[in-house]
Amino acid sequence: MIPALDLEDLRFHHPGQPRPFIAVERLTLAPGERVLIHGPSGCGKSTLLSLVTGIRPLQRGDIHIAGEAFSGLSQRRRDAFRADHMGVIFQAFNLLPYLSALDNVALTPAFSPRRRQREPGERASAALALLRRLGLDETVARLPAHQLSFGQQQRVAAARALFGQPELIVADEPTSALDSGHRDGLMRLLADQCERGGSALLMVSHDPAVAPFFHRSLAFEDINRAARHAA
Amino acid sequence: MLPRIILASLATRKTSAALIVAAIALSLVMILGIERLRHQVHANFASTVSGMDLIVSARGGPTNILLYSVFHLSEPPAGIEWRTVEHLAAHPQVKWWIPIALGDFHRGFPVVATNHGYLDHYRYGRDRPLELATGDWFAGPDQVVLGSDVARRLGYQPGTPVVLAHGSGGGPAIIEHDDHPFTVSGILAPTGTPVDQGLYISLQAMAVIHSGGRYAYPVPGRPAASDKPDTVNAVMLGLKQRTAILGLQRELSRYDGEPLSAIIPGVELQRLWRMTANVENALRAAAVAVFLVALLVLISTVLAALEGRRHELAVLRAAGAGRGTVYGVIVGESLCLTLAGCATGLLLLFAAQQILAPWALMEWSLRLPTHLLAMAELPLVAAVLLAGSLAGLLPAEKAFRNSLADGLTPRS
Repeated sequence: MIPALDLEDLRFHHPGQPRPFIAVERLTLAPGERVLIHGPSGCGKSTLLSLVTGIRPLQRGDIHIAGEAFSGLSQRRRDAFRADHMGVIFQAFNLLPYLSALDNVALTPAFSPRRRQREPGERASAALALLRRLGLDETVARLPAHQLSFGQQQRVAAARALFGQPELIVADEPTSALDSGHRDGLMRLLADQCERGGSALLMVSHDPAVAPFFHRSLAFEDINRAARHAA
Repeated sequence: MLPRIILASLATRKTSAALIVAAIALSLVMILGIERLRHQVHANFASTVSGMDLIVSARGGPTNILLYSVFHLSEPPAGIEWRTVEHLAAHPQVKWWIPIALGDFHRGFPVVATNHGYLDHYRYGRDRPLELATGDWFAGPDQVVLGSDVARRLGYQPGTPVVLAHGSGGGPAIIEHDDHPFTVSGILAPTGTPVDQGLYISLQAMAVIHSGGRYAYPVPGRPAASDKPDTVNAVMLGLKQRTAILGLQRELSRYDGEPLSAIIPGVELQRLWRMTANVENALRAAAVAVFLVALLVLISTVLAALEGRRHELAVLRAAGAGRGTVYGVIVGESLCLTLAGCATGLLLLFAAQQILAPWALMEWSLRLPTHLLAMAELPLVAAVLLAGSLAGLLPAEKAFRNSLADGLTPRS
């Protein structure tokens, strides 16, 4: 079976620092597997995710996503590959505030014909169906994103990441600004929809309470050898 | 999707967008306005010498001859003898001829002494003949025909008595020929040329009023009955064949009777424009400088906005947007702003033309253009659009780098 994510011997130095900030020997996610990495704020979890998504250039190491040598791709190919195979959810500032919820979701198929094909029906109706599955009706979907509540915004962000069933969803503290009720609601939806679309989920959080929604839960300091050496 | 992102994003920054649009619009108004004014002034001057093949005068500088004879902008040199005029009139190549004698003024407006040939043969614009708005062309030595501006400014009607003065238009040394009052016989229709600023009397009348003055008439004390003055300042010629112009010009420069200069008005006008080209270029350079300032405003505003758009661009990047999309968003925004600036500028200029047209015609005898955008101006507008779009490249590259560096780490 081809893993959804397989990263090997990953190193990241901040410029001018002698010791690596991140050093991960191996991290593998099976297709559809949900893995939580938890740890305190500022320990490098977000940096790890920006390396996985290819938004920050990789200094050393190999990343395979859905069997593709992601880290070997050119910048342009990496951008296209991310659009095709990855969904990304942030902690905040997830949406383009001036676009409607629907248009925010439709960003994904706009950048990836592949994921557009993987959702049945016309682009807008597919986006609407997905929003409905996440508990947002059409009235809400047509509102500009800045008029939505924070919880609604996170669900729209989840819908955009889930659209077209990408192999890997990467989430950076998506629940940190939510109260525990909304947090569990969003996690349940996210877990269900990942299950349904067969997407693997790699999420980082400082909140261990979300662990029950994952197959595996790892402490960042356990996988980051750099942190161990520093200690 | 891209246009929707650009427009929606711009809509959230309406004030700065409106300021950029205004800056670009105003600079386009300057660039195009100067071009159009220049073109129109050239066209107006050219329209004044429409159909005129040669102007013959006493020997002198060609530019001076053009300026005084047609535009009344310079002092006329000594006259040419009437028998020379008769020689020209009888020349086989000459189709029509208009003698003019200058030197008198009425309240600052030049008096042109001529004959019926002026009304018959003078052409302006695209070969349009002169027409009388009211009344008739002068029929005797005591009648005067007014250009439309003269009549309008001074409020004269046919029948109004007019006293002419000798000298340069309004200084203290003028001699009023008040012993020879004129009556307005007719008023010319507006032409948008210096014709509108002239008063027209017969050569005979000119001779009579000067009979006791500087240009003594040959038979003192006897009122002139002859239509033949002793001298005129210039003769405008229309030839039967335009191919004969250069030949006749050469022939007249070797004329035995007296030293003559024959100028081709179109050629002299070109020479005049070459002389004024420096000033025109300076104006153009100023307009381009204003446009460059507008571009810098555009660049700096777009750059400044990037700070607030970090998250927006990071979201786009995370959703799969590559360099092309980020460039598309930023450069597209610059293009939109420039496009809106150009459209606003064109409309502003169009409106200004409509509003100022009557005034410019009255005050300067200048016909303003009435078009929104001429084909010939398309390259200029295209260059402005291109420059505006290119101005987005620097912020676009910075945005692309920023969105990479910011990555997924949200900062509030």
